[in-house]
Amino acid sequence: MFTTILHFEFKQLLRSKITILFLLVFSVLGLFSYNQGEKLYLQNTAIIDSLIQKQSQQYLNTLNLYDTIKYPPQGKLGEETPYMISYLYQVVCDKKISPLSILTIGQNDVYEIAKSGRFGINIFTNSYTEFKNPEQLQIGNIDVTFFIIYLFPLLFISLSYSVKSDDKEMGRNSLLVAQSRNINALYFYRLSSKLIISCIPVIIIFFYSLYNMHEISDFSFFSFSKWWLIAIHYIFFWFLFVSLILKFNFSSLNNAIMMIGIWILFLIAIPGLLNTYLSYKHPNNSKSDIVNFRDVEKSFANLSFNEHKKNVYTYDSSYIKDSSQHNSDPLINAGIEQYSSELKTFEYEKMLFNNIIQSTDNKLDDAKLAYWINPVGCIYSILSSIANTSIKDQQYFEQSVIDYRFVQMNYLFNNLLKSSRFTKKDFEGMPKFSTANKNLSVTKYLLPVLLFAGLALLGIIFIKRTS
Amino acid sequence: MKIIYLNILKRIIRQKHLQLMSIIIVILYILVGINSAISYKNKIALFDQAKANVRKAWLNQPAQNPHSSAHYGHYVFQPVTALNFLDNGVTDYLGSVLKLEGHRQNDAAFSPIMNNSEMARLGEINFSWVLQVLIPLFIILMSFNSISAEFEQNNIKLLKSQGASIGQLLWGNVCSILTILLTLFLVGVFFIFILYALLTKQPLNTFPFSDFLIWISTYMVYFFILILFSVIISALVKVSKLSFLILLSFWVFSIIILPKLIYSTSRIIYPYPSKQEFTKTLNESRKKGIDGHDPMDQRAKQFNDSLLLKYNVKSLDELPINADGLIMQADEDYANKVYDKHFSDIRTVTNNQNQLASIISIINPFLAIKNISMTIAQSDYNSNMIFLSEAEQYRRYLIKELNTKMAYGGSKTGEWDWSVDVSYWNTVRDFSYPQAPLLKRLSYRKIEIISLFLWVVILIVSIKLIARNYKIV
Amino acid sequence: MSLLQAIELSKQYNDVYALRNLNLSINKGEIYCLLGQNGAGKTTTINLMLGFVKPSAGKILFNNIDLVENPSLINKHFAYIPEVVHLYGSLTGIENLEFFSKIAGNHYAKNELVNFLNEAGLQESAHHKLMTSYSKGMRQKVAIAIAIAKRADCIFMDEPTSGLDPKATNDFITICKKLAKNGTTIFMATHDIFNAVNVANTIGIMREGILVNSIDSKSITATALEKLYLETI
Repeated sequence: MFTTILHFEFKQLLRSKITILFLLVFSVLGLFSYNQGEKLYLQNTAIIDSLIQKQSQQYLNTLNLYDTIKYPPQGKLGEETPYMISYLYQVVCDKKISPLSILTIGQNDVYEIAKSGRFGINIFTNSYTEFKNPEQLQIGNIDVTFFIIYLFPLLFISLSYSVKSDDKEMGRNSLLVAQSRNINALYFYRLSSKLIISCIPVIIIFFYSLYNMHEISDFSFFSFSKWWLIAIHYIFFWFLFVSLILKFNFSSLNNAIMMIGIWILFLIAIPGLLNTYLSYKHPNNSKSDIVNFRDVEKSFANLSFNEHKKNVYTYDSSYIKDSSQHNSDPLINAGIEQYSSELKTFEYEKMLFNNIIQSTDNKLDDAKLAYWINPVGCIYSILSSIANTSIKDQQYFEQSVIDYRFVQMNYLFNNLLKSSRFTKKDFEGMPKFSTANKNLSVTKYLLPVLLFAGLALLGIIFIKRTS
Repeated sequence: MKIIYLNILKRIIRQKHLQLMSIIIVILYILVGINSAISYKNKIALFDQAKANVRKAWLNQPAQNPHSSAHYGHYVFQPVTALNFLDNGVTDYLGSVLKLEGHRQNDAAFSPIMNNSEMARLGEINFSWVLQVLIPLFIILMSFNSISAEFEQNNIKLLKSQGASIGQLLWGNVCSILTILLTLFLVGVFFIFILYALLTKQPLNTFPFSDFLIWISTYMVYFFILILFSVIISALVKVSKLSFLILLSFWVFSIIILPKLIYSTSRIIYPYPSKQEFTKTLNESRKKGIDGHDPMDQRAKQFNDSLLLKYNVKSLDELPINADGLIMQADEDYANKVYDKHFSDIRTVTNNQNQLASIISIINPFLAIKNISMTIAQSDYNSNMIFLSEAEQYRRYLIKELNTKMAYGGSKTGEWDWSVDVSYWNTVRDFSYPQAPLLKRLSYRKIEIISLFLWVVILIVSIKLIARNYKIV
Repeated sequence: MSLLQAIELSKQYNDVYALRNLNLSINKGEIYCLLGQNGAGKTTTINLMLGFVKPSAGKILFNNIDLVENPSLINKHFAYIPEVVHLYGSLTGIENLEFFSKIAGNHYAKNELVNFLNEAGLQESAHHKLMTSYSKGMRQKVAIAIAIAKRADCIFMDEPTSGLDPKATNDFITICKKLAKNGTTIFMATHDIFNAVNVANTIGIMREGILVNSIDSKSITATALEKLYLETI
């Protein structure tokens, strides 16, 4: 029976100009949404490539400098001081942008994709931010995730809301019941056929994205499949909900109202209300931090030389054995003061960063609790996590940057205070920044969505209203 | 027409699903009102505290060289305006803190959205959202079958035979739906205002009542447009189901799809240069001069020579003033020129992108009302530009003041350890600026205002034409 | 004297004649039944008389006044009972009657409205119930009450007995006769041959937009009319 019905539905599709137009429009929208994601991805990778290229050029120039440098018999050169070295060779810490960010832009248009690796520039000022239009950010992006989450259900609803009620309203019901061996199976196959037809734009996007993305370096077929599996799960979630509503045998109009009402509830009302509540419960209070940072930095810099020395020796007692050198060279003396100041500032900076992380984590924990009533938020977060465009990915990157800057700082000051010279070999041995995207486990977050799907399935099985 | 109007009003009020929707809207008013008022109160408190702390830090500076103070810098914050609690526009996407210092123009840091998860992009519900997005749905539910139901229930011929005209029917529906909607809207506005007054405890004599009234009037026009449109569609289509689908598609397209499409397209048509490219161009202009004229070394030499000539000395050390202050100020002046030229290019790109959206608002009243509402509440991009422009003017005043003090305050060229008395800091005025008048702000939204006006005119004319030529068979 | 006349009345939609050269004359207090199969032109005739559509040719005279040129007279003198009566489900029977009467310019007191409903045969217990709970026959009665309350000279009815049970039909016929006796002219389009003979003074048979036969009901039995009808169509 299924093939008969599928054949019948496709025949009807080919004779319905409006449906063909709808499918065409949605397919174009789908391809456009992919195109938007791709544009942003290419733009971001181009920015990073350009920064890395500049960095590489600086590396070569600085290497050449240390290759040809002439050291004086006594005393350090400016080029051997940490601030100068980090100025000559400005490390760029780049976030690894996953090709899957083409499918889920997430917050990639807002978060910073690259930060300066110079230890002396703090988290508040060390970013390479591109120009953005706040009104465009407010409106949001049209990417494949938007298409699947928002537009696909509308297409499916428009094709299937009157699958049963039309027969009743046109008086075909009794004939169908008389003709068919199993009327429920008939409607199930019809709805499934409608689902297949609605998925035509989705299938087009799938193959288009696979074709375009598979050649990108860093492309992971496993992650790509994971992403699409979640998307299919979401599609199936809507199939179950539409089936459930059809079970109630409302009129076509009431079906449409109910389904659109659920669409609005899940996609607009619940996420909107939750975001409003989370903003209220966890307000952003970052203004004071950045202002205080300036004064804290200044206060650390104003300590006496002995206090600075004490800070350095407390941090790493192995410096004490070199202490006789520490009063001799003005550059080394300055280095001690700077190192002590930077150590204190880093402590403060890490504390601020941890506060921000903690505050965000609290918000995220509340958001995750709400997944039980916010399945769309859950799916959206999962897709963002797979595409590495979520806030946790960003925080992981920013933490890597802070960690790297600290390592770099220690390396450079260690060399200044312990080694006689900063040589080409020392420069080549400078720590390099590298980070990989953290693969966050997503399957446990599927539980709320599975719950909803399960409830819908139970509803379909146990509602015994007859046609 | 009064009879038809009263009859329709009675019937609509009795519809259970509309009663339920009204209750939902009232509940949303309560939730949104409380959240907006408390959030606004927190923002004001934070703003006042941050501003006071920054001023205190400035006044508490030790006696030091003004140049150090120029590097110490000053922080300014975009003011939170009274109507922000109704529509906070793009404020979440704007940096909330701006550092003003010598030799450079910084970007505003810390936009709230940076610390939000990706779910925040699914939107927040505030009062303006309820009015722009949810109320139109309510209008659709009330009016999709306003005329079509008369056909489906076979009342149209009966009505006509009794003497009712199609015009009376159309306007009767429009007026009755408008009555219900305006009641719901004005109750909401009144309630939100009371919450604002009670929870924020802001002095009411500073509240911009005229802006508030214009904001309310604009939304009334928006609702009027939507009601007219819905009734017309119902009349033209004559089938409730189809009318509902058309209106809903219009809602989805106007509110969800078209704005994203337009801004995505505008990004392609008017792309920003990359920051790296831009910074490189900026630095080159400073070094080699704007468009290659007046390179830095030439400028410096010319300036030095002019100073020596003016004071009739042979070297800078012989000057009776501190030339370093003047040289830095001259460099600052040139950098400002460079900044004005290049940043105006960036602003032009943003304005062009937004202009495209404004033009599209002619076919999309949602975009029109969104932009006008943000403008009146001073939470739009243009208001932010006014703040940034005023902040930049203040920065120039501040740096010039410090450089001038350094030059003429009693120190000589090269005296970097010279310091001013602590009482000096108090003579430097704090940052503040008058709010741009409403008319000036609305002048940026001419297209949106024209759009709403055109919609009203076209829809009224359409109703009149339909009333004249309508065929009930 | 004729109250209502159609002279060479025609209605054309593109190349199709829905009504062609209709000539009829109805006197005051007469009940005229128009028979014909589906698509014969009965509803088109009613639509033309009531001014819902404009004729392609011909005249409609009411007391010798051309209604096509004076459409305002239609609302003043004519009432209408549609084939399918829904009215407003969220209003009660009496509220519907009050509303439709007011539109027609008649403001009645509550007891007058009750009287109209009683006259139309609607039981008093149903007057204040919402129309959603009414049966087809009850809704029909409200429609009749609206027509009565209008005090029109002529009432047009389109398939009024369609879907009614025999008792409801009988009640309806009784009301029609009573109205006619009081001087109201009734024009009824119907399929119901037997009740047409019972209630009408004159019966017209229509086929493909043409009035092919006009018979005095007293001169024919139901059986003969049925035979004639089947032969004619």
